[in-house]
Amino acid sequence: MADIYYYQRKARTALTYALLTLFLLAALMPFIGIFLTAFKTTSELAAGPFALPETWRWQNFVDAWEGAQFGRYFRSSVIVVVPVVVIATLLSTMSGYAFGMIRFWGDNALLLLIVLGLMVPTEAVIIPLWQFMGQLGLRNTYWALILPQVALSFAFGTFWMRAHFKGMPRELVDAAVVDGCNTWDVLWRVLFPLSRPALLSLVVLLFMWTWNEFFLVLVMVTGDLRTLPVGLALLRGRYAADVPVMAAAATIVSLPVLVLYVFFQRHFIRGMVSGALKE
Amino acid sequence: MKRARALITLTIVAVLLAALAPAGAQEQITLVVWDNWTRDAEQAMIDQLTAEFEAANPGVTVQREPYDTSDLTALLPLALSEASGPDVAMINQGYTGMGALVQAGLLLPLDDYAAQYGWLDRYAEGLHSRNRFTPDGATFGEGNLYGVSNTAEVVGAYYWREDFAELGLSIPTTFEEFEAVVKALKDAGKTPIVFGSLDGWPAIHTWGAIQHAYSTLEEIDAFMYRREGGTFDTEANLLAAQKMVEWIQAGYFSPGFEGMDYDNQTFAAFLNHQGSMWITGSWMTGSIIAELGEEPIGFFVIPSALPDAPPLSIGGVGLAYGIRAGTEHPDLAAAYIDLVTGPRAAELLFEQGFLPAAEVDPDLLVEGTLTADVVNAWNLISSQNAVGHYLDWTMPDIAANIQELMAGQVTPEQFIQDVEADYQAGG
Amino acid sequence: MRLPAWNTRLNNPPYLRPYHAYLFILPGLVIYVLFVLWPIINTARYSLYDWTGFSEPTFIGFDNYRELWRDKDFWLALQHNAFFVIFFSILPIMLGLFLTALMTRGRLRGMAIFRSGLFIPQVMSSVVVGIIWRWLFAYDGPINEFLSLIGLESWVRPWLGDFTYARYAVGTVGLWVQYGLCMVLFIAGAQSINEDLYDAARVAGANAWQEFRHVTLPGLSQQILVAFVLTFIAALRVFDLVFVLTRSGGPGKETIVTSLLIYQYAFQRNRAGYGSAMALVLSIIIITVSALVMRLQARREEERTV
Repeated sequence: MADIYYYQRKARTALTYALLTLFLLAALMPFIGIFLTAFKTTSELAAGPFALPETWRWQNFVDAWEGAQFGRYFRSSVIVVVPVVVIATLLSTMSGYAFGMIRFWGDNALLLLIVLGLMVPTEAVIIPLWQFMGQLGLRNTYWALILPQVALSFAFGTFWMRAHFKGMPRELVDAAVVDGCNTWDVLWRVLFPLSRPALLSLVVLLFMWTWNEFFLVLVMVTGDLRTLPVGLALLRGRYAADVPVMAAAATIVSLPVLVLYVFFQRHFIRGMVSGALKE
Repeated sequence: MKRARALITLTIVAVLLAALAPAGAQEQITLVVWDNWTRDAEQAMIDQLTAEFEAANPGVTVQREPYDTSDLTALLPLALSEASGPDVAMINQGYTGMGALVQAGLLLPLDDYAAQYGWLDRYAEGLHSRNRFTPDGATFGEGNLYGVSNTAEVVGAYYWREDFAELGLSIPTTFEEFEAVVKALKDAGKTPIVFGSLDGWPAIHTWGAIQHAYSTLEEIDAFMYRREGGTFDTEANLLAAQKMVEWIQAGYFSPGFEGMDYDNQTFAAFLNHQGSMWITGSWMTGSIIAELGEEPIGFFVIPSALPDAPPLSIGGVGLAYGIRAGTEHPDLAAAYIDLVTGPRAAELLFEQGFLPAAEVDPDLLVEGTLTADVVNAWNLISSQNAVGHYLDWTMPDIAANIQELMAGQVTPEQFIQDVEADYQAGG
Repeated sequence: MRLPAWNTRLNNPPYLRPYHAYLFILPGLVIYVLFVLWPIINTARYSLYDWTGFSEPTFIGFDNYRELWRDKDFWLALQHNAFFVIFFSILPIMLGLFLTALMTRGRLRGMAIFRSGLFIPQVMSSVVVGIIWRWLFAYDGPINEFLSLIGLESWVRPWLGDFTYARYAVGTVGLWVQYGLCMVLFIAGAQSINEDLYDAARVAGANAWQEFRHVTLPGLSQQILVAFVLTFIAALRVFDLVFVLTRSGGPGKETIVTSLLIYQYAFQRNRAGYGSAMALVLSIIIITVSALVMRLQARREEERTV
């Protein structure tokens, strides 16, 4: 009796693993295929996407970086992502602190106004933004990408940091005030250093979202100012017909986020899961 | 305090100097030009012309800003409405391009300059009408001239010379012969025509090529410019639709063409010789030569199915140079346009592998090269007034209709009726 | 329990003054108002004008909305968005629940690896995802090769260019992107379900399905709602994937979606006013559904705590 039960359970575990592995492979294989392709010559493609390249050909990356200009798109991506992440993180730390620690008149209404930003699709703001940037003379500059993304990130960041600060023990603040800190110092000297995990989650999420942003970049800027995803989507001409170069370009686009994910996956998952739940 | 006073003094001196400077120095003018020359070789060419212009006009600096075609279309409307906008800009034709700009009063009519410089003699009047609009921007193809082009485009068939040599095929001079060529290639086990319709717009060129073979220029002009009697419901269009279906059933196009995009898959399929011909525009010439050189590929325009008719083909002039209505230097802008659309520019454009709108010196052509084939094809249709149109200028959604036709979602008759209904409803 | 007196309304400790809060919020709020709120208001305003985006706008009241009501393409696009809700939301949630049920019944080792791996499609750029799948779906691509390998030649087709299957193909990509998110959400939720409930179910002789139905599913109601909101928004907003996979929403208009129409009208066809009307309708749908589901979630929360 006990034996049957035991084997049944064993079989079920094995089946579970098999199914999970199948789904894991489904999630990973396409990426593995493209990374391998990025190192092949065109003639090696016939051997199938998962055949190993005969020699690891870095020329494809050189072609993508220089010939297809992904070096320039990479530069744009960095120029846009770094300020967005830094500014949005600082601004939302401040506002999150205010919402999470201080009670003030109109706080709920104000919070609701900002939360609205979490639900607003880019489509709802893009046409006036395009006009507005033109009036400011900022259309087709990096500012046209940085400012709106700071604003949209601020909505999520405020929410995220507010939840975090709400959960912090007040004793910390009390102790700091006894030591003679004012409100400003309490935030930056005491709470900020203790908020590393929450900040890290916020930073990696904002990095990923900004790095991958497509619609806004497509509409707002042209030429070299485009960031990597748009550069990849609009690639035309000789390199577009070169599958290994395209694969190398796709690798360049995805690698930074992937590396970050490998190191900080807990933060990604935690951020997207609990961030979503707290909304 | 002392420092503050010093600062104030300095500021006043600086302001005074700044105010005085223009009066003292020779007048410096900056001409801002937005153009479409983005690749390195193109930049070198246009920069050389620009330098020649600056040398001929002392005190003038030209500030060029290059943009992709789609970027130009997107950015120009606002830029042209600003006081600091470009004095000269390259403009896309059609209702949504030039038409909308004319309607908004952003472009200067060029007719006086055209008369002064003799621009109308550069190429056929039928081509100039593509840069014409009535001042309200509502009627295309007539009225004022708002731009001058320096490049041309023609849609025809690129072909692998070795395939034609192998089967003893020659360049067809009638549509029947063209069909015979296609059939011979198919019978020899080849894919006759490389084609991919995933992006939509390539279908306009491929079906359009057949449509033009059956049509007269009058029919197509009337339809495109929405003239009296303009209709899609013509015998020619029906025949072309039926022919397209017939060719698909005969397997004349790349297998799985419905799922192939233009820039990645179709281009690669032709380069890799997975088919003998590719019906597309002369804009691919440079890219093909960059990959395969001048020799292996040739080009011809698809002959007409009508008796003794010239080979009416989709084509036209490239983006047109126009002048912003609010510019302070219209004469200078016109002088710049005269240079970059003139014979000197044509020579340099040709060297860069472009197809100039103005005629190319025949001595420059080397027989048996792709470049020569393309130039000859253009000369053939422009000299015989056989330059047709891109259907999507008038019907932005027509690619979807052609895809429906090709997939057998609608019959050729239904296809004609659908497009005609859209046309009557205003596009 | 952790709420001390100072966290109740306006009962701040002396060193945290309300005006500090305003100062802290102000810098971010200014940017937010300028680049999010003000544009939303303007979208609503523009939608009442006949306007190319650069000419003199003409006030036309609700004419854009009347035209929208009769616009076949707009309805078609909305239908396709609704179709994608099945693939982006409903199927991933079902698949996620299924996988979660597998993983939570009995302790399994190596869960972290599966969790991290299955989540990867979520963090990748949708352009990269689109380009990869365009190759997979190509006529001579791996999917068709596999089909002919196992003797299903008749199934081989140009998936993304096929009138019947293009939508399913795009939907499949959505499913592939979204199920990892749903699963990770559900696993996190399942871990917080009280073990005693499972023990009780087992003692009562519940089989796997009953256990799932009566313990796991109710315990995950919160997560399911959240997963629905997130994936629903993704389905209604889908743009990048279509832009990369089928370019202009083809074949025919089989994969045209609302965002693509907004983009075309506002930025390619010089109809900024009409595009704004479309954008506003889409936003209202998204915000209404999100808000409804959130309220549902909040109510459930209350019921649970009571």
